[in-house]
Parts: sequence; structure tokens; C-alpha cells
Amino acid sequence: MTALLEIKGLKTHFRTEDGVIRAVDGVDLHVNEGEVLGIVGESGSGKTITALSAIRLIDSPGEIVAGSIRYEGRDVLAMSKNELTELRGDRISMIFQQPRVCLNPVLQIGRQITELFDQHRDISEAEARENAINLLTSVGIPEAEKRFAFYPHELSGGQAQRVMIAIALALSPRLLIADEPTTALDVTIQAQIIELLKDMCRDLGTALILVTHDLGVIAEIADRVAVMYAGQIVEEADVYTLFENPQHPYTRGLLTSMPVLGNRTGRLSAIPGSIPKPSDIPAACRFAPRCVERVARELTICEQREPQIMGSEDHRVRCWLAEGAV
Amino acid sequence: MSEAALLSLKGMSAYYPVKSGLMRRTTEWIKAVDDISFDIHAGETLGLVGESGCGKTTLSRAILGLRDTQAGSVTFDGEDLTGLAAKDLVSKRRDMQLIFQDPNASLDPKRRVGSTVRAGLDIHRIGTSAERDARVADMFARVGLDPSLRNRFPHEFSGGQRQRIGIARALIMNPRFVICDEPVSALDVSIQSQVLNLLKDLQDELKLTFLFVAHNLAVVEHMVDRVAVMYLGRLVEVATRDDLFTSPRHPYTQALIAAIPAASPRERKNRALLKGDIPSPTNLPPGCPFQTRCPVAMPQCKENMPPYVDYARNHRVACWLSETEGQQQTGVRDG
Repeated sequence: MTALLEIKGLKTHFRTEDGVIRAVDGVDLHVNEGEVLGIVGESGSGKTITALSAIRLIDSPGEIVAGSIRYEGRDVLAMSKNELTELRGDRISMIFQQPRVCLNPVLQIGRQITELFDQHRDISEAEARENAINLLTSVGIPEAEKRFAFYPHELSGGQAQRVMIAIALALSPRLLIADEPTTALDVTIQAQIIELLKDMCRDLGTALILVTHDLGVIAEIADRVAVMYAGQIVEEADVYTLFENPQHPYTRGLLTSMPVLGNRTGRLSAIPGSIPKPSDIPAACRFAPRCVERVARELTICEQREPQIMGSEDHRVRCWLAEGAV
Repeated sequence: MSEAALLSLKGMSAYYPVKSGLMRRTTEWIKAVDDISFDIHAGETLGLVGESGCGKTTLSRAILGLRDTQAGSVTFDGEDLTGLAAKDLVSKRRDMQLIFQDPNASLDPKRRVGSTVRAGLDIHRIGTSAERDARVADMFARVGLDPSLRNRFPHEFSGGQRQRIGIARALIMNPRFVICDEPVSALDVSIQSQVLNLLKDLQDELKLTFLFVAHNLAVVEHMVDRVAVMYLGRLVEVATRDDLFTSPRHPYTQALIAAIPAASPRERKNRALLKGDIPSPTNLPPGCPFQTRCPVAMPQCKENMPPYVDYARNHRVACWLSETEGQQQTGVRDG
């Protein structure tokens, strides 16, 4: 299978008064056609910055300082402004956590879809309108013809996210990047949006990069998963392997600390300590200070040398313990 | 419910006025909390579950006397708090504390955290200054923070540590009853279980009674003894944890449980999802508030509000379906 998007050695750093923040620090990642890649991590893990870097949505003081990003073999980092605009509208689109913030508050929702056709497609206004109404219907907006003229404030949070999905998929992109698309929504609405994303991407053959902190969302939708910690990928595998045979102590910790339905007694297992501050990243293994397996096995190498990501194409792990285990 | 409850709500209602027109007259009311009754017994944890706008937070504030109510009563330890003067309520509130959702927003950024934790002791003039300091140090240790960190400011702590400070602030008064309002939903996954374990430990050590407000049912299942489910200001189901999760009666409770994401990819399922959105709380149609999304709505649901039915012991449901079945099964309901 050919990779639709391929990221190699990506480093995105932010220059701040307190020094350089290495938000993304050496990430290799690829997405195949029609595949759902989940990027899971906690706040500060670099998952969102990785996603934004993929379409060069990084603003000063942030900067992509190293690495390559290729979309269908074309070098994204070398693209001109016009080429980028074409890439972003037509080939890759993105949805965010807060749908209301991303919608234009003074433009009718239908117009926010038809303006895409105006810019990227040579079709009549009537056709654009018809397409927009069809799209709104397909993302589950009732009475789409009437709601075409609604403004964002007239929509509920779930409906606003549906409209965002309609806008993102209007030009049938090959790749959709969704950053925490369900986090701001209520439980019952969250489930609806996950199902909608799943169905729409499958029907259109669109690949999806889903960025989330929620392993439950990953379990529902992802084909392949990359786990990020402190700016790096620590484990990458297909979703079944990741849930059933996790190798990195951080992945294991995340999976066992997730409260699961049916668990009614005893203590939850927890990962000790807290996420390192970006200005205070451990020099060797970044997870070493919190790693219970390092302590249990009295490993010293973890605090001396940084492990590289190792293993096969199918299952990669960044851990000294995993050497030979994968 | 044989033994006396520590906290008892009867018919609590709290409305927000909707003002409109040139004169800003109150034209209608949003029933944020509508006729809610339940008991919480000493030492137990009651989970309060529902989606945004269902009235969980309004209800919490009403219990603590932090907002007016339109009807109903709160009884705490046998004493009716309704209509108590503000001055008397303050002394009662020593026994009732609140842990907030967002530790970043609820700690004063310009105040040293030790001083924030100590504030309650200062306000209520408990002990000498040295005794207060000793108690703060003790409370820091109990929530897993080094007491030497007392003189730092909130921004010097991580999110999980800040929530520990919020817990220390609430518990310093030696309360008997604590409302935990979404205490972990602002925290990272790897930190959530630390804080949940801490809350459980402190509950055992200090013999606390919790009202645990949350939207994450998997967290609730782990933490509580009984669960109350709210929808648009109404209580739709109250049951013991095992009954609620094993045999939920109300279609809304069933939908909430079905909406929880799978724990592993092998558990992916085609779920019966609720259609539609939560309706606006103004202009609710007559009848059951859930009728617009209910997969099994019947004609009578559009006409009359379902009454509370004791479906089984300690299992109360407000649904016409349970009302009918309850009659058929036990025949105890009299018309």
C-alpha cells in the first residue's frame, strides 16, 4: 500500500522566553489511503502540533525545524502558498475540538459550504446550493433546506460539529485530520459523531487522522494507533495489537488506568508522577521518571541513554525493555 | 430507606427567568431543576449523572444554599436548611464542601496555595494561627503533597497537583458531606486515576459522604454506591449502582450506557444510538422531557409527565413504560 501522507523525522519547536520548547521532537508517521490513524496522547504530548505540522499550520513562534512531509510523494514543506491552499482545501481538510469557534458566526452555514465550491470548483450557484443541502442532509442535519440559512449560534454543539464535518468533506478530500472532534460534546452526541465520522470516511474513501486523548474513541474507530509522550511516538501498532499486546510501559499504564465499564471494585491502577513540563524534559528516556517497570527491574540505562523507536513496520516501540520483545 | 439520611432533598426546584422585550420582563422560566427528591446516607457516595444543561450544577449549588430555589427543601443531618438566614447557613456550610471541576479556575492565582487552603479556618476562626498552620501541613500530606510547597503559587503546580490542592481546601474544614463536581474531567487520563484513588482513600479515612457529579459513566461506576440520572432538570432514574448498570430501566439511562465507547477494539458494536439533540430547556413540550429522543415513546408520553415509580426496592424510575410494567408485574400501583 502506498502512503498517502508520510512524515519523517519531524521536529516542530517553539522559541519562547523560557527557551526552546521541543513540542514535536523526531516523529515518523504515515497514513495509507482510506485508513484511520489514531494519534493518542495527553496534553503536551505533541499530538496536535504533529497534526498541524502535517498541513503546515504552524505559526510563529513555532517552526518546523527538521524533517520531511510528503503528500502523495510531493514535498509539502517546499510548497508555495498557492499550492498549499489547493492542498488544504482540496486534498486535506481538518476539523477541530470547538466547532463553534471554527465556524464563521456571521455567515449562514450553507454559505460556508458553497464558498468552498466557489473557490475550488467551477459549478453554478444553484448546483453549489444543491450540493450543500445534500451534504448537510448526509451529515444528519434535519430539514437541511431550511437550516441552510441558519447561523452557527442557532445550532447545538453536536449540530455545529456535523456542519464542520460537512464543510471538511465538501470537496471529498483524500485525508481528513480531526483534532479531538468529540471532546467538547456530550456523551450521547459524542457517540453519534464517532459513528458519523466512521461512516462518512468509509463511504468517501477518505483517510482519517484522529487526534485524541481518549482511548475509548481510539478503540471505536482507529485501524492503526500511534501513542505520543513528551513530543515523541513511544509506540505504534495496529489497534488490536496495541490494545492486546502493548509493549511500552506508558501504553500499558494508559490502558490499565482507563476506567472500564464493569469495573466496580478495588483501586484503579495509576501512572505515578505527572507529565513533564516542556521546559523540563528528561534527557534520556522521557518516561523513565514515571516508569514502574524501570523501577521494578532496576534498570539504569533508561536514565542514561535515550531509546530509539525500534521494531518492525507493524509494531514499533521506543523502550529499552522492548528490544527483542517485538 | 430505613435509617435517617444525612442529606435529604424533597421536591427541589430551581428556575432561571427568561427576560425578553423592551422592559426586560420575565416572560418564561427555564426549569433547570424540577421537582427533585433523593436521600444520601452517611458514608455513601451518590453519583449524579447527566449531560450538559441537565441541571447537575444548579442542583449542587442549590443544595449548598448558593442559589435560590423556587420550591422544595434540603434537610441536612435532620435540620431543615431551607430559608435559613445567610449567617446561619455559613456555619452549616462548614459541614458541606465543594470540590470544583477546573482547578485552574478555582484557585486564586495571586494567592499562595497554603493561604487558599487555610482560608476556611481563618473565616471560621478555628484554632490558633499555629494550629491552623499545622492543620494545613497535615492536609497537604494527606492529599499527597509535600507540605513545604505551601508557599508556592498555583501556576507552579501541575493540573493533578492543583486538584489535590482543591481537595485539601475542601477537606480542611472537616466536612461531613462533600460535593465533587466533575473532579477529574479536566485532568489528563494518567492523572485521573490518581485523583480518583485519593478521593476514595480520603472518604474511608475521614468517613466522608459524597455527591459525585460526573458525565463519565465508567468513572461513576467505579466511584459510587448509588446513581441518580438527570435529564433536562428532571430525575429520570435512581438506583443502586449494580441495578443501574446491570438492568437500567429508563430508555435514557440505557442510551447513556450504550454511548460509552468500547474498552477495546474487539468490543466495537453497532450501537443503538439516540437520535437528535438535547432540546432547548425553554418551551419544553408537555409530558415527558425525553419524548423527543426516546426510541420507545408512546402517545401518553406526549401528554403527561411520567410519575416516579418504585420499580423495585431502591430503584425509582420516571417512565410511563415502567409504570405500565410495574403495574402488570406487581399490581401494587393504585390509580
